[in-house]
Amino acid sequence: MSPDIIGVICVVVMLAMIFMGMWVGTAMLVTGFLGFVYLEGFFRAFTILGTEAYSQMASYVFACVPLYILMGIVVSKTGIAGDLYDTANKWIGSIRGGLAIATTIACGGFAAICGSSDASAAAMGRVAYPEMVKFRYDKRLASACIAAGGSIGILIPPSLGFILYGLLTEQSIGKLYMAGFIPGILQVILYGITIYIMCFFKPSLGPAAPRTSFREKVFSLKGTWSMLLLFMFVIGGIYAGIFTPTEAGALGAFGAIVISIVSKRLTRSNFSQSVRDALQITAMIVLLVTGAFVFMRLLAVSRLPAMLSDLILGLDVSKWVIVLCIIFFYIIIGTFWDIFAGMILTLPLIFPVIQIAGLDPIWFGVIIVKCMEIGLITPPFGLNVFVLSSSSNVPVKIIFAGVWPFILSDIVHLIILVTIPQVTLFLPSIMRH
Amino acid sequence: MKKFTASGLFNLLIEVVGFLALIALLAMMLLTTADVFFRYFFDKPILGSIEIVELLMVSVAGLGLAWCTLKSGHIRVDILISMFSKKTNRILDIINFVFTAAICGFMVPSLVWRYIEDTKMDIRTYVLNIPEGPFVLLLCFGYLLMFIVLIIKIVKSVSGGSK
Repeated sequence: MSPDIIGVICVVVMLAMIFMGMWVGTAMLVTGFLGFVYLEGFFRAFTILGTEAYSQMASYVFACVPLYILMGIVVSKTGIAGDLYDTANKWIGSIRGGLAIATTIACGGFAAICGSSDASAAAMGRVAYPEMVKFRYDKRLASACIAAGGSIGILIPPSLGFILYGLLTEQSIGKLYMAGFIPGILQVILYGITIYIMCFFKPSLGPAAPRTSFREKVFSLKGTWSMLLLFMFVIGGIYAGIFTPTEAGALGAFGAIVISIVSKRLTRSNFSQSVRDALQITAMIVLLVTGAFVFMRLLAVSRLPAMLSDLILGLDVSKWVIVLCIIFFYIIIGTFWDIFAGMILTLPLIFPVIQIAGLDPIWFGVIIVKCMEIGLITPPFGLNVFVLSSSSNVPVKIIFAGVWPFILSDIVHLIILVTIPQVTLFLPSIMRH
Repeated sequence: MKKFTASGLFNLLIEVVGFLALIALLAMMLLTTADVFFRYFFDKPILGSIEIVELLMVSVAGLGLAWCTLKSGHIRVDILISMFSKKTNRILDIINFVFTAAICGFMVPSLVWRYIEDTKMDIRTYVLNIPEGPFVLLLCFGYLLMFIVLIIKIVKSVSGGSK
């Protein structure tokens, strides 16, 4: 059998194993190892296992993974979500749909520090949903704006999605962070406009909350300014070339712990649980990344990615048709799979196609993260919807009924990002190295 | 008096190893923060901090693997299997554990092999001259513990099903 056929068989077997509930990392390791044994012999496969397991972990770039996770978890355990919501609420809650707009802004702010979509949805769900229900907001709008707002978590830096993309494709994580910044802000604005339009035509969806004085508005910043300053410090430092993304992760985690201690939000048990959670997620990613690199070595030997690239680019269609197909593919993937699994399983095959097609890898990174973000709220399996449902006891059916305007807004956002790449590439192009 | 079982002692060992991983993680954070601080304010970066962080990362990975496995924290896609019966799910779990244990079973000697090669060639870090071998062994130890955790899980799943 030719190497590319072996590559195809390994991909099919790996997918079958994953759908049968095997851990994604294990499925990649097993098929990668067995495929390598067939193509290069046992001894070569045997040495590849140890080499990849060690060399991928002894990496300064990989070290940013646990540090950002720790930063996000510390922040999310200290009640910052409530403060962010309260601040945004005080500033714009008094307009029609203001509480829902405040929720998406708070989600953006929370995402900026936390970096995880499901954590954003769960945290904001507990805080914002009861408040909106109290002010007689439509339940579909109230729940859907949280699910959609939570999805911003993987687009606004620091984002685990970008770290993973950077690791797998050897792209600069700092540049990816900068590339996600403007699209993330744009998404918050588009969601705000969507909510405003909905409430403008149907005011009963989101009645205005009572007005607040300027004094109250200013005082509401008390609980949030330090964390937002930390975010600006971390991202600004990367942008200005003062520190690397790994150093930014360490400073971010350290800063989050110090701020939480000073503001008396971090108890000993909170801290202990945060570090434990960070370790557990890191170890999960360790197995995934080790499996991905062993599998990528197999794919390289089988020459399957090159064959796939030749096949796709030889179709005599515009590269934009290919981009559209890939976008559609990633939205579907995002609907059914977790972002880690989706990226790790598909990038080894898709990324070479993008490179050969001459598309910018940083721009493409933002596009696929955006697509998977849309998948997070798309029926029938959008992950954020289920996370929100379990954290706030809102039936899944109600949330899905409300997400369509946000999906439409996401599609507009995606069209902007695809047709105007400068939105994504402007900051990376002017950042210091 | 509390009765100590082999499984209880092993779980305690995993908790201790997990605790060491937590220490390594915090050390990584503090070292990097201190490095930036000294570099920026005193123009004196900590010598070899990058390679220490890399070695600490190996420690976090190695020591955290078994702990994560014990807590069943690894990622899986459960769209299809959520439709299956409990019995089918248990069988699929056992198959998953067997495959993972098998790959760990290959990983351990592979890392030992790498340790032997590294020691023969005396591979060390560039700045601080720290030998790489012990950290390869540490990762190997992590996979060995993960292997044992999986064997325990297999035994528990099989015996749980026969009851």
